[in-house]
Amino acid sequence: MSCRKAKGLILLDYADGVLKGRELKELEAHLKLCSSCRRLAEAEALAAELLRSSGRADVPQAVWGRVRGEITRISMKREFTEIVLDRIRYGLYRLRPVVMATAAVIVLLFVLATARLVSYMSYSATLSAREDIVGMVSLNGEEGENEGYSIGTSAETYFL
Amino acid sequence: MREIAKETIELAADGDISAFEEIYKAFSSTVYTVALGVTRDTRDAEETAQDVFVKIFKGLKRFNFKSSLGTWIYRITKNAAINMYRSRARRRALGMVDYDEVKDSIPDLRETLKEETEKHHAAVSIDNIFRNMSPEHRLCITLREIEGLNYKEMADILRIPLNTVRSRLKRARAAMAACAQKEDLTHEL
Repeated sequence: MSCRKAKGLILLDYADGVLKGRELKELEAHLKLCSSCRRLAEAEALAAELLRSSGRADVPQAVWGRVRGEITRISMKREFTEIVLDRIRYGLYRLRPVVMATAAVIVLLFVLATARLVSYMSYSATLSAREDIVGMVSLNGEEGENEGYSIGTSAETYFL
Repeated sequence: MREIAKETIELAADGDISAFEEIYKAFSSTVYTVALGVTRDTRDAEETAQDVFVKIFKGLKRFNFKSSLGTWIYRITKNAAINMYRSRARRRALGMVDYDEVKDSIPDLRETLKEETEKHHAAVSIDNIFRNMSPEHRLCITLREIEGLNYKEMADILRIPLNTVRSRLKRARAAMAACAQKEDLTHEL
């Protein structure tokens, strides 16, 4: 067995105690011959044993006191939010007819305002077209002189 | 990993503090051990444990029972401990001094000298083992050697493939063995 393979096994399967059969026998034979791999196996086992013997640490009692304080505060805040939301929901339910009537009035006002705006915009467009025609007339001769001819000439000039 | 009844989890999620205390009692040692394994500082580990349990309390409503409660708690602990380790490392790199940290490092004369020396020796050896490891490797070693989890459980918690678990553990053990060879830990056992 090569040292490279032996080191891989020492740090995984051998350390985990799951190496069995022919591979275990080969590794054990290699460890008898190779001092470098043997030292690695011993050092790994010692360090792992030290860690395991240190065991699980017990959390200091004070931590629960702090956690309890914090979660009580969170619970109270959560309860307060739930109470406020419940009241809003209940209030909206009780005032349902009023809320619906208000919403209907708002929609009606919106529709009326839109209709008014559309009518105003169409009036403005008509006015603007009329001003354009008057402008074309004033291009030719004096105001009021030969009006029909002037309109035709200006319109022709504009389109040509 | 110890399991908790579904009813207890649901009660705790609804804000029942005594149900939550049951969860705390079942997992506090696990959370603290993992946090201590990664941070190697008792104050940081306590702070991490507190942070983890507050997060658990806040998040229990969203816990969907797809994984076990233990796996979920390990995941929260893993993230909190690594974040704590990194934030402390950044503070140290910036040269910022935490007054409480300095205060705690002054020896307490009320404790007997013998007790202090024994604790110090054990802590120093384990600290030396962890010193040259990344937080991810510290986490792997803690989960495997102290918590006794198998590779599959570790892969679930860390959300990494089994082969990555194996390679991380291999590197961590190599660092651990190198440290043991250098320090000659035989006198500790």
